[in-house]
Amino acid sequence: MTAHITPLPAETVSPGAARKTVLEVENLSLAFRNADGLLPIVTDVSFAIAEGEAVALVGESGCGKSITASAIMGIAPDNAEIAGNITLNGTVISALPPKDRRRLCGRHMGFIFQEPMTALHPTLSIGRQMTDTLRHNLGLSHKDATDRAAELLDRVGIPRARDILRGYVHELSGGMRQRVMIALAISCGPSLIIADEPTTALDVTIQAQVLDLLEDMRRELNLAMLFITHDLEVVGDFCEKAVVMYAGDVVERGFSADIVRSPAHPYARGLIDAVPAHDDGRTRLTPILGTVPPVGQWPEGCRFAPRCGRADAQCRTRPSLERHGVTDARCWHPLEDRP
Amino acid sequence: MLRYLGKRFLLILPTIFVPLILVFLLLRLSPGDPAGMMLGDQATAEQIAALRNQLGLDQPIWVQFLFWIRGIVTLDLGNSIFFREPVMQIIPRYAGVTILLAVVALALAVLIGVTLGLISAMNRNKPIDRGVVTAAVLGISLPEFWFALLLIFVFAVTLRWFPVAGYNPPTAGLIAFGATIFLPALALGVRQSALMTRMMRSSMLDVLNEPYITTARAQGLPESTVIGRYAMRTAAMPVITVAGLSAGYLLGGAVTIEIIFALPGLGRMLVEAVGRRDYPLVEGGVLAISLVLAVLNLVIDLIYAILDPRIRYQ
Amino acid sequence: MTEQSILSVTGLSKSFRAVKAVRDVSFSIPRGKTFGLVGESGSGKSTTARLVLRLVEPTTGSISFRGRDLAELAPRALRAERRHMQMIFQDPFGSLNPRMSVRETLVEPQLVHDIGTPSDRLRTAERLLAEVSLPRAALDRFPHEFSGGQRQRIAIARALATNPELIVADEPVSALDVSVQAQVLNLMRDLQDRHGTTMLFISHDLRVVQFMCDEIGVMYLGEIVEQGPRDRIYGAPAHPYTQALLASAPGKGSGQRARLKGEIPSAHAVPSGCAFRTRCPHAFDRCVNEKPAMRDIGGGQKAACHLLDKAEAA
Repeated sequence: MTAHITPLPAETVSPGAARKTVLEVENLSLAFRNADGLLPIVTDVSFAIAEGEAVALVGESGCGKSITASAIMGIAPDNAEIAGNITLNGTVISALPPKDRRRLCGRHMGFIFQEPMTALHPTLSIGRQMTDTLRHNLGLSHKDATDRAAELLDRVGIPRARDILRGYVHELSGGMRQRVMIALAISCGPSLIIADEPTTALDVTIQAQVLDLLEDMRRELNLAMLFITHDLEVVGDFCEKAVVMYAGDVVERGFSADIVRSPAHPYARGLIDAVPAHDDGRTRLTPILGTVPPVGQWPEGCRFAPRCGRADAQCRTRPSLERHGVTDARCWHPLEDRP
Repeated sequence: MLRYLGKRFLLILPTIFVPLILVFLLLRLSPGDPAGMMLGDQATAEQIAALRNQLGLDQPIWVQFLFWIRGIVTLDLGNSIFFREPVMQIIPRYAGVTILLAVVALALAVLIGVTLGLISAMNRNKPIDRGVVTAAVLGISLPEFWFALLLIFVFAVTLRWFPVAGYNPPTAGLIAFGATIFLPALALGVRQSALMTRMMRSSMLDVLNEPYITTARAQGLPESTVIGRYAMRTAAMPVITVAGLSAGYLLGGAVTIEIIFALPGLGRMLVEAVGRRDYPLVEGGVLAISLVLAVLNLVIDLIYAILDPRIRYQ
Repeated sequence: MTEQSILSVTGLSKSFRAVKAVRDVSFSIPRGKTFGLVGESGSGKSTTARLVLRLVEPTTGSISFRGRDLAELAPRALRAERRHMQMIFQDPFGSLNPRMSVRETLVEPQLVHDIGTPSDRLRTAERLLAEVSLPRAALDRFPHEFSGGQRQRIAIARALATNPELIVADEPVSALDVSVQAQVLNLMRDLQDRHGTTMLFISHDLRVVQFMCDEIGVMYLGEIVEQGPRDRIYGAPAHPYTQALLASAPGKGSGQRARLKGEIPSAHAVPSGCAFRTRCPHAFDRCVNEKPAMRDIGGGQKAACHLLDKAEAA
């Protein structure tokens, strides 16, 4: 292992206004077509990511965060009906035919998965997988692609890059695998990286290393990053903005510092309280009552209402995502005890 | 890699010797006396005894066993009781036909199975998929002699594209050889191809759900590369396993097919030799079949190790 | 070892051929308390859990449970003793028998240990279900009809069915979503308060361990490197590994995170001297040559690190 790369000082990232928007998602909805008609999975999701910015998509399993990512990449299952606009670097890509969407993958958008062991091919060498991508997307020769692949591995902190290129995924440790995955995702110079729970499967000390690496890459390459996670604590450290999802809906959106410190939506508050935090000496946790309603059984109106202590008759109609204080929340009775 | 192959090689030794020992014992313990059969009804007891002595059949069974072992080690399998010439000369004449039949059948089965399975998986739940799945069920459940007769009736008797029976060796020209081997090989391979179709279909469907396929797509690789290189490489593994397992089945099935199509193969030779109590020839035949099987399995293991780097390390 | 310890493990080791999975682990748990084992994957914490229950045979060491050495017990006596120790696993999908209804799942352990009459057993099952806040109607349903959190409740109820004195919980909430995780953690604490059960709690999640445990052992590469009361471990960690582990946890702000280099070495090749030295930011020559002994640093806290000697000498 090489030494950890020192991150650039924070000042090199220019503040918000000057940054160009890379990804814009407007009113994205996704439903699965099945024998009984349409089954809504994600409704009315909107957010934007600027270059060099990390936005977290936060929620528990089944909230629709991963399928949102695959809709952006254009790799959602065949039976998915997608509505809304997705704009990448000024071009509306959601209207493009599948073949053209595929051409954007790799070259303009990179993807990092949760489990690199299964996300990398088990019987093709690391080098083969990287050069396939480089040769196809950038039209490099075999030799140039191999050189570039070695450079990339070196850059993500993998020693003996040439040897690793000849090796296979099962020969690497968990942290190394995720480094390879990151090298693959950035290999063709994309402007957007979508990382789906990239550190969930890793040990804490390795998780920290990989988060550092992602942050370095984001700063050095000025990448827009969509960071999908269930862990609000990681969000606070790593992402400038956050989008909290619940049952296919965006329930809160804003700067992650604001959301982590003083959320407006009772669900976001519940997520924070449910985690045993360091040093707070509680003897009981505050869980969110009940369970997430399965897809197809969402309640009318506010989908969180059945589990919410603040719900009343008004919550039977659907709230819209509106500004409450410093964040946007989809709630009739947002929390007000904020500094 | 070499160590892996060495280990595989040691493992095939029992697969050669266990059947041989079983055959030796079965032949010796079953009723019927080859000397009597060879000499016919008119033979005297003295003549039979003399022949038994000449063939070593009057020795205790363990002595016969030792002689037999020595024969295998020195590659002298004795003379055929019926043909009165060395077994080592008879076997190759018949083995070639059987090996060619099995290899062509296996090739056809893999070709048909992989193609149909792939088409089926790529068109999941569409009419073409349902058609293939139904055909595969038929292919697995109907016996091969029935297919053989059906093929003869349609392609040889009605359409007259192929001869009804008989055999031309490859030395007679590829077309002449192909004409006589195609229908038997197809009849022999149809069941395996149906099995492989199903195997290919289900393993392809599984593999298409694997995250590394999503990664390949997310990297922008065209669908032809994703399927042809990334998915096929892993989806083919179970098919290769089936191919390995079916080698034994194909050699066994060759007996029926050789008889129906009148091919001068090892299977037909064995059946006839068993009928004549021609011990040395039966033993030689079984040895040959075991050897072919073992070599085929070694080849499959080799292909496996090339395709899947994880195996080399186990 | 305190008098009232219900479980006391001394010098426990386990090798799988060349792999030293657990090396010389010692700890004891007072009655009614929770001892947490925390560490990364490959630290040996799950193996230790299985060793304590003798689900895996220890290579050396003793496990004194209720005053008897489990490591010495004959199979029959061990089976009887199992009544007093139960386990909860990480995967609530794999640990419940899919073909057993909840009623059977809860009655089974009582039946195995011959507890009560049939009607007693059923009453216990109903009471347990109520204790884990599941409706009575759940009795006749099967595991696949429940969510992950509900299954883990069923697993907890099953563990309580024999009224055990010790529960070993191996990552019991790692597979659950945060909101459900909080419900299950609360439930486990409530039940422990009510029944006075002693618990060995295994987790990689520092936050969960801090919430659940009275006493904590930090494991690295098969060894406990530091142990002590919760507030000491979290408030004043003495071992560099514990310090790094705490600093790596998310929620501390990205700027001041201390980083550990490299990854946990293979248990095939444990480094000489201090096992942690290959990743330790403070390692010096003595760490290569000499294995640090566990030393008492007051307040019930112990750690194995040469730096502690240095600090004392200075």
